[in-house]
Amino acid sequence: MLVTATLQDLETSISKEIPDPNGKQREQLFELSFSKSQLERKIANLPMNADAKAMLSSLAKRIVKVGETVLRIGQKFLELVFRLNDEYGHLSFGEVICLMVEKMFQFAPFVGQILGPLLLNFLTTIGQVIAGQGAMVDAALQTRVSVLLNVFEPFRHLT
Amino acid sequence: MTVSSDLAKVDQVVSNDIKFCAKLQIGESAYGTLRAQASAKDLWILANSVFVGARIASLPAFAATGSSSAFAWTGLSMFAAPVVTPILTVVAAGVFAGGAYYGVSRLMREYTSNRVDVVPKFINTPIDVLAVSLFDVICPLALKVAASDRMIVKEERDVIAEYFTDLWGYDPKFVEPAMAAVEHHLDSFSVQQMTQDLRLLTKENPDCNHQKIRDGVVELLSEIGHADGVFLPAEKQMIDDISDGLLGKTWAKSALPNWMSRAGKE
Repeated sequence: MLVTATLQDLETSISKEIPDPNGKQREQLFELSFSKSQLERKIANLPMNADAKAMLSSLAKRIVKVGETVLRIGQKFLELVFRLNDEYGHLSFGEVICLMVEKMFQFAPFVGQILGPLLLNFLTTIGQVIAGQGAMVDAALQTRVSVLLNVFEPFRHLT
Repeated sequence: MTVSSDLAKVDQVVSNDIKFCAKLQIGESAYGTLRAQASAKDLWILANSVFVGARIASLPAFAATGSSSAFAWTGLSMFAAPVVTPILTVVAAGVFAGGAYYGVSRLMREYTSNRVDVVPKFINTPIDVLAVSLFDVICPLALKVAASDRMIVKEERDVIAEYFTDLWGYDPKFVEPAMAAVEHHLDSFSVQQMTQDLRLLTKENPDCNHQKIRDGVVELLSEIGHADGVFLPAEKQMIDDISDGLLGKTWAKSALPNWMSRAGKE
């Protein structure tokens, strides 16, 4: 199955071939927890500056075409971040994003390639850098991050 | 059903983000990057205006007719060639050109802002936090004015509720129980304190246009005053005091009877 991502901001398009995802993987990948307006509301209520919120909103709009189906990959990623942030309230949103991004670059580099530029810009805007946070958190949290990112399993072996 | 249990069921404070952000009237200044961009653009154009002004001032023709005005008006300018414009004239012309641009551009910007509302998609403060903070200070003031004749009537409640829901985009499911909660505790609010808090909040928070919000609140209070068909001197006095307080003028404490400044209803 062909996966195509058009990155308008980078004026580039990436196409890769992946094995057909099975039913469960498709469900996990395409099912969204929030409507667009619910996600915008969650972003609007984050304690960060308006520029950073606008970047997250752009990230939420990033899509890839998996076969003939459109996957809102940016929103999917953000939903995972919000879920982890709700579960681990003591971590800031920026810290959660750092953990997720760091792990994602290892787990599914293709997804990192699509979302990475926007995410790294976002992290710079909020003054956060990826500095091996993953190794500093407890094992339970590391496992939880891995479990959440498992939704991107179909892209796992793509680089 | 208690007031607090109704409030506990509320899952959003603002139901129309665009209305809320528009009412803050901060335009594109919500974004640090756009603010910096606008300042850089202003400085760039200002520098260019100064440069162009200085260039014009240093042209020989300008020098002959402008800087050598002392010769010109005595009819001796033809003997003044070759003329070099004194540096002070060049600087003055440049500054004048820059100053004129700056003044005109600011006027144009003000004129534009009166005709077009720029609504930021996001603000810096979490939207529900700012919404609750503003409600916390505006609603008691509004109810105090409504209660200044010692009775809050339905028309006055409607004006207040519509102000929050229709103008600001608050969720009616929040406004109704929240207004009831404020009214329940109205006696504990001081008009002076609320006015100071509103002034402080809107002046200190970069997501608020203090002047526009202040004007809007004073307009709301006047509307409440007229809502029941009778505009009592006591209501006018309270609105004037709040208006002055929002402007930062010294609070005319003696102007309000004690029952009015502290107690909202009987």
